[in-house]
Amino acid sequence: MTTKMKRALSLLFDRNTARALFTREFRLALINRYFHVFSALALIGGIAAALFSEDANATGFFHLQVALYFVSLFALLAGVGSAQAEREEWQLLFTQPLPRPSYVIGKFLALALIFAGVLLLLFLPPLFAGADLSMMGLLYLQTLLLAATFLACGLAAGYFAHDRAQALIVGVSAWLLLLFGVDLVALFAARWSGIQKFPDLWVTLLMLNPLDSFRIEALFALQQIPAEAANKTPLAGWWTAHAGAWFAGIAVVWSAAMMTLASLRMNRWEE
Amino acid sequence: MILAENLTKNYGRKPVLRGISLRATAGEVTLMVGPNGAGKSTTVKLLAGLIRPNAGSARINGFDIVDQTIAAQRSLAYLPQRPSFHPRLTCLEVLRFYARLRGVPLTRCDAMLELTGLNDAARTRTQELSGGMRQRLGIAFLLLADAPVLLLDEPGLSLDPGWRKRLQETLHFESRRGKAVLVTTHLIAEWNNVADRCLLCRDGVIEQELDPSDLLHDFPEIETAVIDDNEDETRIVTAV
Repeated sequence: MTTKMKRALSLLFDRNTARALFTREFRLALINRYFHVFSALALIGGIAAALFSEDANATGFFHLQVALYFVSLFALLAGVGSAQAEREEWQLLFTQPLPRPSYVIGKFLALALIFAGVLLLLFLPPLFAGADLSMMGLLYLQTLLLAATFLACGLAAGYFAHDRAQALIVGVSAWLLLLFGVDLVALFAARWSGIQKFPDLWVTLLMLNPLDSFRIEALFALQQIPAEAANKTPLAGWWTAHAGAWFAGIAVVWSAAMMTLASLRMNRWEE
Repeated sequence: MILAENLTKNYGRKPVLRGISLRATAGEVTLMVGPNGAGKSTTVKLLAGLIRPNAGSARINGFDIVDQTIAAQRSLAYLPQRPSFHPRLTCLEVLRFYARLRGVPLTRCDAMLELTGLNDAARTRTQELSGGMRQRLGIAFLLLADAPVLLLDEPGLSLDPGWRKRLQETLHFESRRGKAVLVTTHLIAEWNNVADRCLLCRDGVIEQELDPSDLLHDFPEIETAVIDDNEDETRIVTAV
């Protein structure tokens, strides 16, 4: 870790700085319509899952779909919106005695904490209806990691783009690519005989995609797929045996990579 | 105290600063005047740590703005030409955020709002403020941290004459409290009364240092003039 990064982290966890950043983000989240809609839909989804799911597995499967399509998109939009909303203020923010990476990382941590709170609205109601605590707890943590990953992607898109429209186009395109694009590429690639000789290439592509990684981990955790079904290559076997740890790792790597890119971008930003 | 030596800055291939050297000492208001495009704003942004020089060095209170950016920024407060705040936050929330960031007691936010006549707008979102009110919030932000170095880029453009005068009096007072104040402007006549020193900037260099009182004495036509890009003002700059 470089001296500059160490200094940035020590400043980030300085009490005054952390309080300033977290208070600001919480206040902004309270008046942010994205978070209003997200909270309302999360609560409705949580209650609907509790009321209408036939069994615990069905509740988990419902939450898996919500996390894949709804939480990831909202986290991305929240990141883009948050970065772009204060674009005009950068000339004041960046004359404050706070390293720019600290500001970027502080914002990310504060928003991730807010997501941790809002996601409880989605995951608590099924518990009252008798859903399995350990299963829902694990799914909650995985969904939070997924949200953090896409939050980081949204922030990076917001910091890189010149305006909100560009940031939204880039962010949503990346989300669609990860949601459908990677799978489509893998599907087409699998038809080539060259690729068929190296099935691990195909598996690697899926493993590196946080959405596929989350999907596989959650499906196995919910026992929607028997583990031996995917145990065709050594890599796939390893993946299915360590799907939880792999997803946690890939989510952290993606978040860290996006935050590093965003920090580098802001370090180089000049009005 | 502000010390800059041979600062150069290029935007792409275009040189904006061609070796600016200046010194603004504590207890003085230093005026930096010049036409549009002279490099005044770029110099102040560079001193505030917003942009980096291609060559040269600058020190704020003894701290190098490139190598010791955070220490230097702890010693300064910067007011841009058009200060922008988060549009969804209120005036009080904005000031509290910056107060927390700089470890300033929150009670000082109320004092700053009172000083700038924004008490009634404390709970107004900044997006609802007029240009003048936003500028006054900028002044509150500038004075909040009680920093020993104040950098102002064309301040008061959106302020009415009464508030402009109050800003000048405030800066004069702050300089007498031992602060180094650097103001860029092209409104010489308005600012020369509070200035202790006046630096003429043109084409990315400090062309000469002027005595503010001599300036109006020797060139009375400046009293009503604004240094800008039009023909008259070019003549004034040339005359100086």
